[in-house]
Amino acid sequence: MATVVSHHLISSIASPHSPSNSKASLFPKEPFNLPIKFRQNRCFKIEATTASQTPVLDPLLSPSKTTPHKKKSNEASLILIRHGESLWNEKNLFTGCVDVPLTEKGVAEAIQAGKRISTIPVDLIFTSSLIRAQMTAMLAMTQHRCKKVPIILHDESEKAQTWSHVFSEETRKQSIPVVAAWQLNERMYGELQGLNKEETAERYGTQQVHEWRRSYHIPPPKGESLEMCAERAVAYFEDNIQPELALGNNVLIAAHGNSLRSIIMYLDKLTSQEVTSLELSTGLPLLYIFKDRKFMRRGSPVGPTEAGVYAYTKRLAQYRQKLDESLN
Amino acid sequence: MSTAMSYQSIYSFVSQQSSTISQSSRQPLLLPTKCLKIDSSLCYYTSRRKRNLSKIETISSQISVSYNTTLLSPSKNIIPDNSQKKSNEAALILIRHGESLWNAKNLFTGCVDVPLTEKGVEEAIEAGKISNIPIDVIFTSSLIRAQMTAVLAMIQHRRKKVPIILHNESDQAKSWSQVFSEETKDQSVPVIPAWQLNERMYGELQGLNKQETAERYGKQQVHEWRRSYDIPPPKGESLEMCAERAVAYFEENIEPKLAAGKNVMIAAHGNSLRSIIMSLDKLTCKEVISLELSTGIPLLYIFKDGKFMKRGSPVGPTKAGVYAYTKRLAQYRQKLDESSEVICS
Repeated sequence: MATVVSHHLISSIASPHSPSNSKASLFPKEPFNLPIKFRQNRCFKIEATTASQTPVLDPLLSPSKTTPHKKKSNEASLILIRHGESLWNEKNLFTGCVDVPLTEKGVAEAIQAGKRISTIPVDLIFTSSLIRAQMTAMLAMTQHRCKKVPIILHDESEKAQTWSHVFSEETRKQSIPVVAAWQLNERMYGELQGLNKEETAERYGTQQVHEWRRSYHIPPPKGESLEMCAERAVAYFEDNIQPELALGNNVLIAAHGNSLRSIIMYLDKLTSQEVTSLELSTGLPLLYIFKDRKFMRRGSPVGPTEAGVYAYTKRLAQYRQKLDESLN
Repeated sequence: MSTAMSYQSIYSFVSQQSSTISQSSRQPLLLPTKCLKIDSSLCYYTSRRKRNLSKIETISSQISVSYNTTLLSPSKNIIPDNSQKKSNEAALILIRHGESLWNAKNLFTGCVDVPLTEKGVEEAIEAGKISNIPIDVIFTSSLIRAQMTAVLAMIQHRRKKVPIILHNESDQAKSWSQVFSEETKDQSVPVIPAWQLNERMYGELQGLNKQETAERYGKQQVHEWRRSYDIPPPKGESLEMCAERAVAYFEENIEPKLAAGKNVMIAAHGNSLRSIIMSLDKLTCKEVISLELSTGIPLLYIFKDGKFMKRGSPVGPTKAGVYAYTKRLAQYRQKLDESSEVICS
């Protein structure tokens, strides 16, 4: 039952190290559960901690323990979801980083995606700073059987951090931190943003537009090439997300076509040729298992009613088992 | 046909309400008083605020006659009046978000950024019954439950304009979110997130179970924090403090838009909204603490001549009731009906 015990550790999110004292000063200790690398990048003020390696999701239940990062498991799940239809997809406009929301269909796609991953553990969620990805994550998680509450972390200012502080240990344990990062945004489409795809072809020529859309390193005017998008998305993944997986934390990333294929390029070691022809379905979650520092692609979870989900790994089968048992 | 004639002159001033986030000028609705020639039935429903169905039907059939001649004839430009006169009236819609995951668990939420439940999502979509009331700009808090409520409600809006959340957290965020098509901008409604519209910050109670808190601090004390006007929970805001920053934001950023004739929707929280309502309705502290706002039910105010008139809750597009709010709104609704007919033909 060792694996089940480790599940227990995984699913409890205790507050990190030092005296978790609700009467602490207004001085914002690290907002609960903020990933360590993320904290360092943003230069948060952090109280003296036992080790810089202290994991974000302290696997230890008792606050008095000071031992740092015990790996919870030698395996972690990584789920990637590309958001569904947005209002500009529907109108056939180039969207890029314009913050356009989902259509009703996009909302339904998100909920459907949530049903498919409802029995796969999630400890931490990363999204872009755009609402269509954030909504996708929130809507998907309404379906999750663990019934934990996703909470979006705010670090735009000290005030935002203090104001969003949670003062109950138990509540924190029942929460899943959501980290919003612009580095996971869609590829920035420069001067094409807001333009109709047809008009753009008329204005610049079909050839040119095709080049911008499908080449690896040619950016549209004032925009990003896929290469540039990949650079900032993969860097973010390596610095902030991979360390969490290495600690055994299960991660969900809700993002966009180009930021996700960039990450997949990294996970699957694709060439630039291969990535430009990679199409990601919207709303279909992709599962990877991170183990022994390797990423194993496991396809798309089919949903809780199918026995297929048991086949991914024994650990996931046990997680599923635990969920079933807790119902009885 | 004299009444038809007077309508004709009124409607020559009717303009397309084009909301933009660019600098292009909006051609708002102009209703010069002399044209309000006072058809007694018009006065009846605007001043008495009664919804008289039969009168509305008569009026609307007359309206459609003149609309056809002024707006739909091919030679006529849909953007008529260049005089840049602003509307002397604007709509203000307030929506309190629906159930959040912590509401469902009975935890004090405050400024913790907790999302909506499925029920809250449905409430937001249901709030889309404001689909016949013009919206030019949307303000929300910086919390996702309010933002989701705003964009979900707008999915139903008949103008089919696209809400776009503005980003100004950094120069890069600003330049990256730029839109390069004028036409697209015209079809957009800017959404402005503001922390000043956040829920009241509940300090050390955030995340606590309501029952536990009562056990820890005593029912009396908790009741005081929750229901008094000026007593804040530890490290939190009192309603007074919340009202201060919410109303200040409203006066500095939202009221000027209304004064310029822009129709505004605010999607926010129980306490930030009742603070604003306190200001709009000139309530006393006593009155505001006993004011309860239903979730997901839009409240309509009309801003006119520097005053806010409360108009209750829009009942939805199938009921003629919405016509009764003001003539301007009736015309807006008419125009929506017309344009959907044109599309079908």
